[in-house]
Amino acid sequence: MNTTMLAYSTYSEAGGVGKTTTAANLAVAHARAGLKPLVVPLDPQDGDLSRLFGVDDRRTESVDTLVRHIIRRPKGDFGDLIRTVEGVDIIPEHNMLSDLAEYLQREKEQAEAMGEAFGVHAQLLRVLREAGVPDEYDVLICDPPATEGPHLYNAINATRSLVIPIEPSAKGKASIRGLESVVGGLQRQLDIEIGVLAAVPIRFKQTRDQREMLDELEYSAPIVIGDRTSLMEGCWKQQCSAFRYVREFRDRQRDYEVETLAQYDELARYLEGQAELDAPAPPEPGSLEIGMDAAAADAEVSR
Amino acid sequence: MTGMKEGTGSDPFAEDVVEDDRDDDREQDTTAGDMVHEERSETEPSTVVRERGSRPSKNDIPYIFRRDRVTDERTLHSFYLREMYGQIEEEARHGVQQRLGEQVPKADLREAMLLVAARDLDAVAEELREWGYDME
Repeated sequence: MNTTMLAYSTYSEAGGVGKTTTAANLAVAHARAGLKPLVVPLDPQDGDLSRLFGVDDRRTESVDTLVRHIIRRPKGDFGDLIRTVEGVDIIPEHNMLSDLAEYLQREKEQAEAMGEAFGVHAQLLRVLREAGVPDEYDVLICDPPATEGPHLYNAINATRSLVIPIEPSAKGKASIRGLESVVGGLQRQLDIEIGVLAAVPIRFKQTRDQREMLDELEYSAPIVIGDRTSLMEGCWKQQCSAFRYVREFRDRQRDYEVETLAQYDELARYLEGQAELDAPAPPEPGSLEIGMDAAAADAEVSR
Repeated sequence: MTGMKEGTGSDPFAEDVVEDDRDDDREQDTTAGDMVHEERSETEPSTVVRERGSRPSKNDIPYIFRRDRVTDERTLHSFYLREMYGQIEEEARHGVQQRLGEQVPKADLREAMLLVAARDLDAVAEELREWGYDME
């Protein structure tokens, strides 16, 4: 039957909202259910998804990078860029991402001198298309930086759908308004349609202000995640997903943390449903039995 | 506030679909000089089309074969549904899949169930009466 790929970018204008942990845990949740996810993080800063998954060891080395593919100067196969952790394929971030705007601009000037067109915001999409990503993968997750620029634009153009982690606060509300103007501009500029799959309220502390803000939220919010600072800090420290952290690094399981894992599972199922994608083996939400095999496989291939 | 669309955006990886019409036009152009065919086509359009060997138009192909993916020709709708909906749908899907011997995407199942229900509005009204409609 027809296959379809779920593609989305995680976006939040404000930093430190939990955008990267959301992307990482959703990716693992998709993988746990038997789907094949590809994660493309695009943050030029340290403290990003590659570091969370412990695949940032070569970010300063002179190796082939996604940026090289984006500016049509690859040094190897697309497939060789990929590292696999916890059942998730990742293209690690590289320090070349800091200069992406400059590289793109230079490539565009060269192309135009030759009379070619070069869309600076369509290059990630081109690379993924040419690499056959929609045939190879069930889910594509881009995790761009929040700041406006070629990383964000390329990610949104390549996915067209957004998942918006948001802190229920005045700051969070302002960030959604900021996103709306970015998205509006991008839709007109690139002549594409961008949709919001879900908002994900994070660090919800049950205050009256927060509850009011949730009521006013214009996008569907299938789950609301409580304040899980300790869990998220643990993930960064051990460089793994929340699933693996609770399973392997917690000496005793806390019900509210398992509940958070279940919510990631549920959100993953919701997002899959939006793209009419059926996970072949969805686990009991929050179950810790799943994923052992993937972890064991990682241990074997990790270098 | 501009407000963003809820649900999925456009498909970034969709191929630009070229309608078959253009090919058909070209085929017709090459045979336009053949007056016999032209005349006959006015009286017996269907047989002439077959004789020319032109491909069936896109709408002759059953829906699930002419689309590239389930979401083609479809737009996203959000519904509020009671808990029972998911289970009933899943059971119905299972039953239909057993009969057809292949997987049926939820979107197809839902539309088919809607079409079938629309043919039996008495049954639909009866169900709604049980929910409390039409009470004196």
